[in-house]
Amino acid sequence: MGEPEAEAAWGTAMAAAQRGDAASYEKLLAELLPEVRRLVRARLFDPSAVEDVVQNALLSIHRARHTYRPERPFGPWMRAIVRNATIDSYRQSRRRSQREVGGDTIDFLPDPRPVTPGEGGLSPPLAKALEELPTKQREAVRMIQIEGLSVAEAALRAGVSVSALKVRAHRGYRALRTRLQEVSE
Amino acid sequence: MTPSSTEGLIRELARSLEPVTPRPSLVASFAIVAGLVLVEVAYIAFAFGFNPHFKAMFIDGWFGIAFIGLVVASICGAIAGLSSAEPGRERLRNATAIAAGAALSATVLACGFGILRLGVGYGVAPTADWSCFTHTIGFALLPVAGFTWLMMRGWVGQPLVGAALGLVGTGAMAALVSELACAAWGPRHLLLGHAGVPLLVAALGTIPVALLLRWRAH
Repeated sequence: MGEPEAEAAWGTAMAAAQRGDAASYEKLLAELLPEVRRLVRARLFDPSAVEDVVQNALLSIHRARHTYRPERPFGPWMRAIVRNATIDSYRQSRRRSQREVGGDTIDFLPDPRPVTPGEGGLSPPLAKALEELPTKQREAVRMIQIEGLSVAEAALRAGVSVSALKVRAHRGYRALRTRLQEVSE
Repeated sequence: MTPSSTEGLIRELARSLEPVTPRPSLVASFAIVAGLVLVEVAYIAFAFGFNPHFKAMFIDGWFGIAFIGLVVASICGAIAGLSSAEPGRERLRNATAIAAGAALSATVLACGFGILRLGVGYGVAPTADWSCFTHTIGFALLPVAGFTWLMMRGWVGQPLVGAALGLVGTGAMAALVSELACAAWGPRHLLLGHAGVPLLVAALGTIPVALLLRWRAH
């Protein structure tokens, strides 16, 4: 299938997705993935960040799906979203600079008390500190650190953008560190 | 993040898929904004009546250029703003943005030329400038609200640019509406009471509208 035919088929699949056809949508996203990766790689200097940006772009396509109009070509629509997601990710990573809040690792302070694992295998002070967090921050930390979701999956579940989820998680981590530090002193 | 988590995300996106209503087309969106302006024109027709000397004002070349510039700026600015909420319409957005900028510049230059030729004091008293200015701002509220609502239903990659362009367009629409009823005369009046409003609306409204769009996106 040539590129114009493929884009026409993607457009048809997106129109079906707008009507709620999940099977067409999953097939469409799977077919788009190599193209999205290629577009992101072409614009990104840091190869280790590619998958992060690809997920962000897929999430953006998902959120913007109501703006696709079947009478318009699919390719420029999709490429514009991927381009914007890439630029957004680049700006955010520059802003964050040294503060990594991606959620892959979190350097909690060691718990000075004897550990009696509670719910989710957390030590009681950590579980208590987690419960005291504001709901949105607690949910963000819980989804990334305990349930093991990727940031994009967590953002989807929370109904917010990846960057908003990262901000919530980062604030949660900071608050947790502060509270655990107070406990250890 | 790993490729396998991306595949997991795709499954999750498909699983959580819900039907959506496609955003109104660009033509329909423009028709909505233009419709709001027509409501204001109808209000003017009933409440004040149109300026009976409107045609006669075109005798002076500078007024014709300034008025046509406002018409082009309003159409192109609104299209540029609305198209920035639809991914893949960057070429149309850029072309109409350039046209709107050129048209508004032509309006300002024509008024400037008129002031040079006729003098700054030509026409009505400065108090009329302020009166028309406030009316024009008032007429801008409805199209700006409609435009913002339509933008919030879209996906705006560059909120600042989209908001600025659309506000110039809707501000120019308001300037045209107030001009239809305005019996005042003179290049200074047209510039300060009417044609300057799109720039002011864009200057004051761009950041709040862009923040609203960013908030909506998040």
